[in-house]
Amino acid sequence: MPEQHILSVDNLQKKYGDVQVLKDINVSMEPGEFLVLVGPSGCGKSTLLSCISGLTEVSSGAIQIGGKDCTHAEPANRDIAMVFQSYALFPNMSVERNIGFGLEVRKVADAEKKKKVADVADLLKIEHLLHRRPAELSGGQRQRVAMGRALVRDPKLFLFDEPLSNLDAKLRVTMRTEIKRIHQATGASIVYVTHDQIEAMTLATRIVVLKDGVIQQIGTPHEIYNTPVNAFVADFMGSPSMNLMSGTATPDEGRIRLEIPTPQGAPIELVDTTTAPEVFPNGPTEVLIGLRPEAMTDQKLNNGQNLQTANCLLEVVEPAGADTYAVVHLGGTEAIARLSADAPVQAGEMSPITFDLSKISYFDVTSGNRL
Amino acid sequence: MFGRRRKQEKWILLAPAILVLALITLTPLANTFWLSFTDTRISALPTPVRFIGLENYIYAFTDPEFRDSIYRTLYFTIVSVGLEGILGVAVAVLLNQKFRGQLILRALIILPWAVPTIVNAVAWRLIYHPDYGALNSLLFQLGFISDYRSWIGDPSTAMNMVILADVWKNFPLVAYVALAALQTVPGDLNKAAAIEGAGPWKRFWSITLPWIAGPLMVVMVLRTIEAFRVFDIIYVMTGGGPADSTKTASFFVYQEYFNYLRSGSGASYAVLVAGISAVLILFYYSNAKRQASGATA
Repeated sequence: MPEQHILSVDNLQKKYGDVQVLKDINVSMEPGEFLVLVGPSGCGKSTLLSCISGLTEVSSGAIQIGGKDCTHAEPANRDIAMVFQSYALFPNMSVERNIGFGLEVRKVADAEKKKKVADVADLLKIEHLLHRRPAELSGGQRQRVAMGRALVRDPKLFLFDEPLSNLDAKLRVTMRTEIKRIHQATGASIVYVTHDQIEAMTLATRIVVLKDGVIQQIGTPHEIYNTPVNAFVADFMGSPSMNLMSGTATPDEGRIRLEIPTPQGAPIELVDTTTAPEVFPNGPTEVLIGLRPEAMTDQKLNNGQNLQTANCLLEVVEPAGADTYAVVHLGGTEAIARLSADAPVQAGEMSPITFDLSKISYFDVTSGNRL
Repeated sequence: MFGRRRKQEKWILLAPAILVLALITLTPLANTFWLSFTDTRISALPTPVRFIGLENYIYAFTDPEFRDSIYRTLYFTIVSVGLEGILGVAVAVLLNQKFRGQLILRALIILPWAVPTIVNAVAWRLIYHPDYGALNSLLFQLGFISDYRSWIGDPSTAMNMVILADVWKNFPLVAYVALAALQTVPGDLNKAAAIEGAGPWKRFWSITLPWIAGPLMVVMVLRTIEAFRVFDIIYVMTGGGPADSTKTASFFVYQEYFNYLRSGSGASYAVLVAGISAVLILFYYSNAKRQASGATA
């Protein structure tokens, strides 16, 4: 393996009895990357993190950290630090001792330990809390202390296990920014587990989407968002998620004609001039047509070269402040269109919707794979 | 606006309990306290009772036999409760591991504690029997001793033998409380400590033990109080002998009171023993309070 990889996981498998939790996991990351493992609950993301930390023994495969084989190394010998969802602060110790615990175990001299703890406390703005016990801290403060304990040892790799899940919505956003700020300031290499796709999008330099113990896609937030490899990733990432409408795609004179059925009878007809018609070599094909809500709008789009407008029945209109979401029954699904905040629309009325077909994705009806 | 009535109501509701407590606890307590200032003797004939002030206490303080019995009691208490603590926690840590048969073992371990003290004492007397005791047989066959010995007939070993019997019976209680407390230790704490580089010993001392300190303290207080007033096991196993080597304070009081029938001076000894117990309890209590203020999260 090339030395520049700070972490590389090769063909990792994890079984509990007959249940295979992780299947053939292959991931590697460069120093300074912020890798987010994301997926629905039970997808194996926390197990994968646990395997990387050494708290869980792998069934087969190899793990290298900083170019060193760590597959069977003790957690203490992997040069890692971990932040837990529960924070896992030691209740009988002061904040100062909590942060310095790893240094205490490694018998670092008192003066050096004090200085390092003070530096980290300064970075996290928790100097005034050093003499308190964890019980006397708020959730956000505990979170900072937990990060302090990880940062103080300056390990090769940081592991974060859903660190923001126990915080309220507002604090979660604040701490998310804080984590991003710390990552930018320290250039730390971070593996971060979350089930929250917004956290994944905002924090990651690269995202690993997992489902049922199998990696679905690895890519930058941009790649994951714009070119999801399958319907699952398309649906899971993004809020509201991508609209997946059944329809028929017919290659025709270098373009693709699309028919999307509506409950009103007449289907909506669109023409995609962006996608190569070779995607559908067998003539007319039943497909899942993927369009993000922002690619279905009433707004003047100037970036898309492939805009098509069609009249659609707005079944429900949901003003959401900055936008108005409208539910449109298209291709057997309740598609969501993202309209401007002051759109003069009413539920139950027909309204012109502009489709940005330069942002279109096609998925196979049976396998869900990207075409 | 209901304050006054509430207050009265409270006392009315508490009254029956207070009355019963007063009858069965406060009255004898006050009576004992009063007796300790008199020269009362238990007698078939009515004898005059004289108030003699602190005379009994002065005698008790200068009585070397009583002092020795206090030392013996302290020795018994410290050694047996200490061993029960160490053994109890060690066994609890083992029982807290995952292994086959764990549930059965957890159930079995409590059995010694379920045995009545008298039965336990009789059983251990048989084990220690100089002629056909199991201990002699075991040690002889293993080659540790060349002759059978009278373990509780020898003043140099009697007390430690009684302690062994007491530890065997009572360590399961400590183990049970410790086990219950161990099950509440969040797994993440140990994981975090492991990642920070702490080995099993460091994790036990820095994480696990502080976490279970509160409940452990409670059971240790209970055991200390019980051990300090130890009587029944000694009554059955050695009767305070040989050569007074197992004569603890409670036994001393018992003899003064019921063998020598000096209830006045017996009461003064009893008050002193209770006083020392109270000091021990206060010490534990303040310690537990300090622990509790730190170990909550």
